[in-house]
Amino acid sequence: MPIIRVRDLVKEFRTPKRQPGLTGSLRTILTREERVVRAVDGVSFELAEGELIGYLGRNGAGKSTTVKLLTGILHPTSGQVEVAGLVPWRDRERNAMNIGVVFGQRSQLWWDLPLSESFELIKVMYRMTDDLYRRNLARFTDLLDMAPFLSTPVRQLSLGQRMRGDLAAAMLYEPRILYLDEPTVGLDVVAKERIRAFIADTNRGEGTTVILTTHDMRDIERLCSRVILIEAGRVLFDGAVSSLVARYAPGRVLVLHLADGSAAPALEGTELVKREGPQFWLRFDPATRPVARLIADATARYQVVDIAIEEPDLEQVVRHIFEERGEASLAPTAR
Amino acid sequence: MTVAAPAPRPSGWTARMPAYAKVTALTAETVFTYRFNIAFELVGLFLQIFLLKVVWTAIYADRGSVEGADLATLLTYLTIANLQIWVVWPETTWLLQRKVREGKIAQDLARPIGLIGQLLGHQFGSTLVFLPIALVALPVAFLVGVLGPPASIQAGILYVASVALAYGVVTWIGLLMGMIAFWTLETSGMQAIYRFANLFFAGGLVPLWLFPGPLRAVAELLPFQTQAHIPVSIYIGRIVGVDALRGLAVQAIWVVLLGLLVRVVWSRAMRRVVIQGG
Amino acid sequence: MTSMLRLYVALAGAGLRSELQYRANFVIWIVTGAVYQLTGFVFVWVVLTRFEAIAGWTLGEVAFLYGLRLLGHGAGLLMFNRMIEIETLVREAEFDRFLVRPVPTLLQVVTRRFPVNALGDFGGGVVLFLAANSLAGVDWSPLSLAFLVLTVLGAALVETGIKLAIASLNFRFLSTRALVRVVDDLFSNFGNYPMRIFGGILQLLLTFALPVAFVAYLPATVLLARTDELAIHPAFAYLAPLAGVVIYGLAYLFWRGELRHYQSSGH
Repeated sequence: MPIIRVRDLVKEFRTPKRQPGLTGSLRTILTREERVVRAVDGVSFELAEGELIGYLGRNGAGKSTTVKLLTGILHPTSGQVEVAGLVPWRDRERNAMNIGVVFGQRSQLWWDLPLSESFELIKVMYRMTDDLYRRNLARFTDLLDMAPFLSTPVRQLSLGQRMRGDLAAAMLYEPRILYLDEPTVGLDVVAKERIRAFIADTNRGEGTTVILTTHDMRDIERLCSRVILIEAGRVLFDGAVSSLVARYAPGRVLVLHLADGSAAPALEGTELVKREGPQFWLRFDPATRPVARLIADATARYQVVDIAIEEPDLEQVVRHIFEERGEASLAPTAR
Repeated sequence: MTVAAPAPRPSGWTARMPAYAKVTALTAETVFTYRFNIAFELVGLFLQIFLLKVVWTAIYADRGSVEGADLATLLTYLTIANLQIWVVWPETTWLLQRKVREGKIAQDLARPIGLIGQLLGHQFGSTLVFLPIALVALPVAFLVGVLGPPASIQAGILYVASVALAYGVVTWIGLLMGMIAFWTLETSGMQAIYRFANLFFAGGLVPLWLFPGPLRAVAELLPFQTQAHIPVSIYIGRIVGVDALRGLAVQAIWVVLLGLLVRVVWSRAMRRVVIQGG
Repeated sequence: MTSMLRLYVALAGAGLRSELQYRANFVIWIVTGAVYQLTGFVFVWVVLTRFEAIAGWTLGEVAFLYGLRLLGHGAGLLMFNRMIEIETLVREAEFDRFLVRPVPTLLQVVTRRFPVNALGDFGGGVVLFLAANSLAGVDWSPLSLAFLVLTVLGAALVETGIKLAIASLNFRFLSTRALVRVVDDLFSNFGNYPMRIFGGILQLLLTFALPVAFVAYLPATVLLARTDELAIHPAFAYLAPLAGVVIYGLAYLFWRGELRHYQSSGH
């Protein structure tokens, strides 16, 4: 029994073509000439309770719009969504009880008040019992190390502290589903890792279903077993991270550090995927180009400082997919 | 059938037409959006003038003349006073506040034209936009309010001089209010209070001659009367001859006094900027 | 219902505490509210010390009317906040956060920020009303006191209901700021006077097209026993508090309907 079911979801945005000036404004109101943008174009997927999935896509690919439809912020143009048995936009308030939402770019905490007051308000809004509230607040304060800044006004918190506060606020009432939109954006490495650990724990420990949208492929690699890749409003791929890599970037990567890095090495049966100074990442298919022979060729022809074989990482794979598609169809990236 | 001549190749200014068109469209757009707001401001102004007319007509009822002014004269006074207060408005306050808040003062001070110069330029520029609009609005003001000609040619000339002095007073007040931002960062509450106090004490609601004694005395000690009451009284011929010249003198004194105050406050503000950074 | 009230108190309290963080502004805005409203009254006062009456209404009676309108206006602001801010909330997609909470969106909007200057408006209204009351010599009975309370609540609903309906248009991405300003002007300037002075057509427009008359003028004719001067049936005056319920109810339905057009940001 899936906890989230999305079928043929379509969302079109209609914006009136604005015309300048007083008469233009009147005309805008009267004629209602519209520009239609199809942001989500027939998306379908299902999620089982307790899954942690990565929802990937470029800016404007429709991932935020999908999340806004699932959370009840937007009404769809057509299609069906069921989240824990509810239609989000029809049962918006009941659905809100079941979900936690974190927007990385926009805090949902009470900006001018101490962090603890935001939690108090959450308690009232979500009708939490005193007991549950005390227990969870103590747990999250400990888990996210929030004690030092609980009484600081939110506007004075650092980005990392605020994000921890936002996560706690979204989890305090034990929602069944957690939507995380760019939860690590703008954070330093340590802060990112702390957030990731918390998400992983929540998912494993509480069995919370998590939908994570992010630009940071490390988030996905670290957290998700399944990814849904969306492009131009359609699902491009839905499956395990490993099969995404296998399907779109088969093979392995030879990393060469050359003494003379001025020109890329030309090795038969390889493709340059990345370059950093004198280091080159070359993809090859071990089925047709045996590793041992390749290494031998490379060391024979170039002065190699260092050499390594890697599985291609997700970032390279995703970039590869988008680059190829970017040539073929120009997706509406403008927002 | 004639053979169609080959399409002329674009050359000269025709080739640059798209660029011209774009620039023109852009300019028009900014002007129009600006005007869109002004149009609604005008609606508010006309509503105010209309309301004053209706209320004062009811108040006068069948009285012919009160304190030496009949209804038409009184309405002319109020109509012009309101139009004038709207046109002659301190435009620099919010601009200076914004600059202070965004911390752009230091870099503005480094410019050759100088911050005060920029602010004054902005004040005059805004007035240049508003003045023609007010002239176009005059017929409407005539319809919703009451508007008569100046009492005499001499009154008309003195009126223009008096408005010029009023403009000086407003300009200085605008700068003074804006400079408060150096200390408080926030001037909107004070601007609102200024708006109401000015409207009332300048004579925008009730002519000053109808104020009860003590209130009248207060009004004459404040700079606001220089902004509408004095010029408009000259216009309708209520103060003439020596009295009119005395009115102009009062205005001139305020221009000088406020100008000195601007200098003092400005130098203190600058010291503050130097100490605390822009 | 009680849980809604608890929510309202909790959220409004947070809005108030947020505002108290900016103490200097707090005071300035209260003063501004009071000054704004009282300038209008000083006008009436100055005029009526010179002229005895406007359309047969004495200084005390006009002050009573003025105070009544201020009470309704201030109460409306205090309870329902400034609707004009909805435009910014919608345009900058701040509205998203309201939609993911298990609380009606409007409740979150009206409690978001405490409208400090409304304390000045309302306080000014109280002072003016009490002063006017002794001048106007109203005969108070339990019934008329109840009518007064209902009038103030009804007036709050009329004014904010109209503004709520206008603000609902924001979900279709129309800018309504200028329109709100004009409506505001009409309520706060034309609502203060005995409407007889406006003549037949304008009086009807200010009653049925834009229901300014229901805020203070119609109920004031009841409390001051002046219903015989009305051009319309006196029942409208006696039932004036109900107008607020009807108008706000309709506005709320409109709001709920328009909410589906919310587009958030970025597309």
